[in-house]
Amino acid sequence: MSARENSVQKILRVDLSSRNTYTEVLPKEWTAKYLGSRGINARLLFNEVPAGTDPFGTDNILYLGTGPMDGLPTGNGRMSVACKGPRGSVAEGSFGGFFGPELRRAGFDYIAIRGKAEKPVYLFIHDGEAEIRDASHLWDLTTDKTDAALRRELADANVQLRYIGPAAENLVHSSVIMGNINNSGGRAGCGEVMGSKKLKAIAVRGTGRIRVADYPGFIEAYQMFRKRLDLATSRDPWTPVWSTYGAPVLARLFTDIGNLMTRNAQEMRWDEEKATRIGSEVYLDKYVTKGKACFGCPWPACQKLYQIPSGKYQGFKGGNYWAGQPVVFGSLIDNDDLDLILVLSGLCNQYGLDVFHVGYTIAWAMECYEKGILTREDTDGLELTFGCQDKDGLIDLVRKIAYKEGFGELLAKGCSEASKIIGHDSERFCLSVKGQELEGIAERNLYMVALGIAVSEVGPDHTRWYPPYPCNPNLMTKEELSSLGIDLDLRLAFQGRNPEEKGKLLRWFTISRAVIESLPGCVFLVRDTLGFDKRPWWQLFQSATGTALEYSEFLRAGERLMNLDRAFHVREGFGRKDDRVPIRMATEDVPFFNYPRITDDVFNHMLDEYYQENGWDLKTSIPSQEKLLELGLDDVAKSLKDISMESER
Amino acid sequence: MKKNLDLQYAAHVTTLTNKIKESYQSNANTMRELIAELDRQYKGIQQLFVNPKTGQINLNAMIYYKAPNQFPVTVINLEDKIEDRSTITFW
Repeated sequence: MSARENSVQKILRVDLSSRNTYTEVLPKEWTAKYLGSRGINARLLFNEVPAGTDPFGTDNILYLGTGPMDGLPTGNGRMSVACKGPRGSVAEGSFGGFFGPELRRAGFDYIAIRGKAEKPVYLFIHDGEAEIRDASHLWDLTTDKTDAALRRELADANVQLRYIGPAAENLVHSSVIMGNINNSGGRAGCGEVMGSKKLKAIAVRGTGRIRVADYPGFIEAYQMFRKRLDLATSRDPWTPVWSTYGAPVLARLFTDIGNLMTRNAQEMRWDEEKATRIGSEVYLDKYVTKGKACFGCPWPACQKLYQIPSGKYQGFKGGNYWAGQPVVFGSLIDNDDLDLILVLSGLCNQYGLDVFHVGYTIAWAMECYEKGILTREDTDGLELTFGCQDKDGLIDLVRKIAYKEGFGELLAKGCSEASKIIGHDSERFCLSVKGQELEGIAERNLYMVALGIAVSEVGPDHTRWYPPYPCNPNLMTKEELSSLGIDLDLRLAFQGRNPEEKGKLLRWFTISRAVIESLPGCVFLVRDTLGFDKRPWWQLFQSATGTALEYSEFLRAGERLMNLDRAFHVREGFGRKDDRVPIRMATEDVPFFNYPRITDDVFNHMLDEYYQENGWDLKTSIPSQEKLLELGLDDVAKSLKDISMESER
Repeated sequence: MKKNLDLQYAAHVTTLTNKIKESYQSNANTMRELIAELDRQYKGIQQLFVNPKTGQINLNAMIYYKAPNQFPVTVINLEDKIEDRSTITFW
């Protein structure tokens, strides 16, 4: 295949019901207006999936989107996957690896999949062509076995793959799409939707090239970008930590400051020795076999592959032990056995389960057990106590969740649905928002996190407004921020338990991430200046695509995406009433530290500020007509004009 | 009089100290003095935490300071005083 012009974005349309495929070229003006990847996915989703569409029906569309920066040497193997999720709103996530660049080399930037196959199929895309092939022999295979089987079948070790495991095939809540064995994405429901279409996998192989529009300009921009990542001069306190030791270092650091969810967040402080036993230092020393990076990433490999060296689970292999697992399989369930954490995490990857769903739902069940709400009769005889005495039972429970067997069938629904079924007021300690389980970050000590997880349309997803942790307020001067058009008092904004400036800060971080994820790019590579200064990325984008736009317009693309997500959300009937923290965080103080619960006054103050800064209605969260027209979203404005809803504020 | 401190080291800092924590006796009165003292034992730790141009804490470094019977706070000012029996985390 020949080289492609990088500002032209193509979409492969697939209808699994009729088994038809065809190609479309997206409007050229979309590149400047929405950039690509997540931005264009959001535009397509709003245009093509009307309100009331059945998430598991044939009219729901699963979008996989790369973007004009994918396949370029800036660490951009990222891509976005989006659809209408089973919880009723936007389901969107991203993953890294190598699939995005390969798809672009095959001649496509997006895939839009509608319909439903009669029997399991996989999609094979190669150099401008697409085939729908039988996947009956792959159905029910775990993700690692699917990966191996497809590589053998296609006789090509360089083919790139995305696939689901048994969990998504069984429509387990929050199941994910996997790739490159350990990369997962789309936890808000994309895996379930893919499973509902009986689409087991997508394979892609491409030999084309991606031509940068302005090569000298790109090199100059790239040098600026790389300078910002220099470990010696980066302004980001997490750069040195993340690039070498990774996020599991947080377990040991956060237990001291009340940031570590312990025993289903009944406490926020864990035993220091236990936290040390599951931290990065031990992990790197005893378990890691190899570092692994995504396509073209300039950072030291942040992904790590591991193997359990000895003991009962000797030989078990997996990858990507990061920030979530030390919490959800560690402190949250009071387990300090790192072998067990790595087995549970690895099994989730193999089954295609979302680690947060599994961890928080098990923790909820443990608290139910502790309170006598659930007994051994309910749990198939499993002694479901915090501390995890029955390790084999717990491992088998993960399998049961993937296959909806026995007690696993209840937990497969997620803690929100499960708590409604069980009752006994167990909703009070189900840690979820909009039906989606939390991640691993504290809310009662970090008010911006509380606001961020509450307002996110996909449910808790810190990557949509990363970074969650406050940094040195001297990071940028007021003059620097002002020159970038940002009006923020960092001293107030970075005070964890002060509600002031949190709405503003969240807005800026959300726009920042929206821009990066639309290029696409990796959130870890923008951490210098915490993403306040996007000028290196703006220069990279312009030189890569040949699309000239003002810096303010580059940022405006992120604001457009933010409003498209919210527009889809309110069109489905969601609103202010749904932007809430979990009940526990709103009703219980943090013991030992005495951090107060997040009161209505505090929360509403932050939420009002966030809506106001965004130009959204304070009662309903609907974006104002004025804001939508300002952003050039005239059609969206028209679509929302007649929507009204009661506020339960 | 020497102060008895609990020092903790995380992530890349452990490559300099070769340990994750220690009980440490110090003559330092401020964080700046403590870092200078530690640098004599763990060469390079000053470079990690103190910006040679500004003399302030490096923006890409974090220090948590926990005074006795208090909760940890982030260190912004290297002139902050250090109390006996405090816990300091470097990362």
